[in-house]
Amino acid sequence: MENIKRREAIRRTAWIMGGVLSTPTIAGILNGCTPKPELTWTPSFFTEDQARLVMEISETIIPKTDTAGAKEIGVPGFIEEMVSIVWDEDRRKEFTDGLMKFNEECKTETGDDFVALDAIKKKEFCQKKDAEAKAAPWGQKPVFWSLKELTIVGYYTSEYGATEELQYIAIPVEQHGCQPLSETGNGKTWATS
Amino acid sequence: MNINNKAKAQNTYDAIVVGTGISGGWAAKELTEKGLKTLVLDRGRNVEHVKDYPTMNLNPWELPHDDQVPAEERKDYEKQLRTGYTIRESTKHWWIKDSEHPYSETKRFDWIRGYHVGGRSIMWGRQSYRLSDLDFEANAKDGIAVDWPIRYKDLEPWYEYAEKWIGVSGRKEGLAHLPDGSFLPPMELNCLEEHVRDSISQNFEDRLLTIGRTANITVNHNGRAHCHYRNLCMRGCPFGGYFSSQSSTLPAAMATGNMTLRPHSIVTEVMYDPETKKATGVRVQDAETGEVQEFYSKIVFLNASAIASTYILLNSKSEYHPNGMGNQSGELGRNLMDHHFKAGAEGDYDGFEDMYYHGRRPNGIYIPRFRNINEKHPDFIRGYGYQGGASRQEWRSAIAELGIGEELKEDIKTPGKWRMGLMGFGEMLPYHENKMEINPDKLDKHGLPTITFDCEFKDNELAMRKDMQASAAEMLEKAGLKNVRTYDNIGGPGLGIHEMGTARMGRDPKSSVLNGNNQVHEVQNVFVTDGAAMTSSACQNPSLTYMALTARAADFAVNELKKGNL
Repeated sequence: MENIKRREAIRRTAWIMGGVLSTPTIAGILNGCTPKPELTWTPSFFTEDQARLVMEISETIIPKTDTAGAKEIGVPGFIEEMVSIVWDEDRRKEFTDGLMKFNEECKTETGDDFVALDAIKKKEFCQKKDAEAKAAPWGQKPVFWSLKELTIVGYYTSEYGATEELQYIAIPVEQHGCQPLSETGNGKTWATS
Repeated sequence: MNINNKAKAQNTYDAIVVGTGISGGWAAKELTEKGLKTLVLDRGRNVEHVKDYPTMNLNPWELPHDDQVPAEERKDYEKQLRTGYTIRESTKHWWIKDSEHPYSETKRFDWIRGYHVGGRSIMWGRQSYRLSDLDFEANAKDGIAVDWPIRYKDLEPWYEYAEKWIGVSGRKEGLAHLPDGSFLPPMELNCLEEHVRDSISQNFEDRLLTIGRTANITVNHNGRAHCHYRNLCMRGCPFGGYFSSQSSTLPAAMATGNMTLRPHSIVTEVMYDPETKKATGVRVQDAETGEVQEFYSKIVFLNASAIASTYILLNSKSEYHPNGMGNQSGELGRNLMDHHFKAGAEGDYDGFEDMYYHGRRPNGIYIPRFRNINEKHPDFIRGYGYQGGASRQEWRSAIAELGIGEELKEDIKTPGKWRMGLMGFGEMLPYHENKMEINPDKLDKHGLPTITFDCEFKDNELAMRKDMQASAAEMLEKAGLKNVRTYDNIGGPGLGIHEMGTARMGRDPKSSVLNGNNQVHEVQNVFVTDGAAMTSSACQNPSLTYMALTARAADFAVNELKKGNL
């Protein structure tokens, strides 16, 4: 993987061409496949490969549509913080091992690293993993279950998720027990209960 | 006057109150309003209303890592974590660190507590129910433990008095065994709760569903603003929308000019004068400096919480009270009770898809006890009530129930299926062998002896839990809920955070610690009016009863003082 001569060559070429290629992009070209996606944050716990994987899975779970996706809201960084700071060591290891396994399974099935797949294939693979995770008994949930949970939590506890995607009122003032949904603010789900 | 006498005079008050939580705040208010110069002690730091609620206004995105506490820090809260809801980034400052305040367990007991002015009045669940003669007569009728020395009529005016001051919202239902109170307007049931209420009324003659009776005020009350439906009570309320010592009793006590509040004051024992057979005051160890001081008074109110008040009495040993003050019966530290809960059922409902609710109601529903009232249940004595509620599923349920991608985003925007849960809160019997003891071999960071618990649920509680599940499922199914599932996660005693009974009231000094006025039988100027006093646990949330007992005992104490009897 590490081919310093080639790396240097590409960097030089990029410079000659007047373009600026980021390190991950260079690494992608070096690996002989489509460029790896650029990280949206600087990971402090995940390796760059793990970080890219987490980023691409979370964006597949909550993609950019006419509204922001997980990446744009900083969900991958949130996931790293939860795994590295909040979780205990056993769970942390389970997670990073699970990520590797996830990618291995992806390679076996599609012949490619997950991050190298196009958006449609990413979604297909994740849908499969989602079904497996739902079917798995408690205590034996695969890493996708945690990724989905962390992505959803990170997204909908963010200011954007709570106030743009859902509805949130810091101080409701009044309580009404039973009223038409159409008359309940903008009719969306409350962000907090 | 020599220096010692001067020092003694400076440390002398009419009354001393130990503890500032729900009952301590009430003792402080009542005694100071009746003109007594009162020293109010708390072992923890001072907490000023609003000013010292650091997380009260934080939005979800302003709290780090989903309000969860990092693994490294969780190690300090090994036992406090057992509740699953107390140790959060937004609330962890209200709970002790087990690493600093250890205790031991012969059998599991969850002692969940906070050391600060206001105590658990800041974090309490606010459900406020009266006991009735069904409860006060229960021990005598069943021939277990000892009889309560009081009846409902003794406490009724004090319930009224306490409710009027703190403000309790709820609905009158006219039940003899769950007496109506002086209520502020009730909060509203939501659509599914209304539906289940109607179904229960139609299908079960002996049961009803009502809105929880809660110490959240639904209209402005006693200078406090009404509940603003944020449902962030445990962080402390900037509006004073619920009763806490800070929002209610301590300001009233302060306003009299008669209160001296002294935080960081660990009361280690009550001092005794064998000549007068009365307590002379309390010995205090400063939590910050370690300095030991004595304070003197005519009366002492112990309101440190059931376990801590009992600890102080057990620790007040002398040649006259070799087993602790008030322990000639041998019952001090025994009959430890809690409520058992976390057994019930939940189910889903198809319908009301076009209906929703507004405001985060910090309250649920209540189904009053219906067992062993007119008919005798074959498997257990006493009974339980249900708490719970209905809601529409929101985004947290999406992990298990929704897919991924664009569809997930769309689906999550619409409120999910209606779901309702009922959880039983059951009476725990007083068992002599369920106990707390002082453990002189293990010391805390202040060099003080710690506590060992030996407490368990027994057959009556376990049998009751089966019925809690079955009856909950029965009511939900009758109301048309689908996929009804029962659960039973018993946990340890203490998890209900309703610990009580360790210095029980009774008629006979040979079998109880306190008399009908909450006086220690043998040392009549010492009063205990927190959970320790409870002779039986009933199944209702107990705090309102502690308030009523405290106000009643304070009234009695001041009258006795005036008569020269104390």
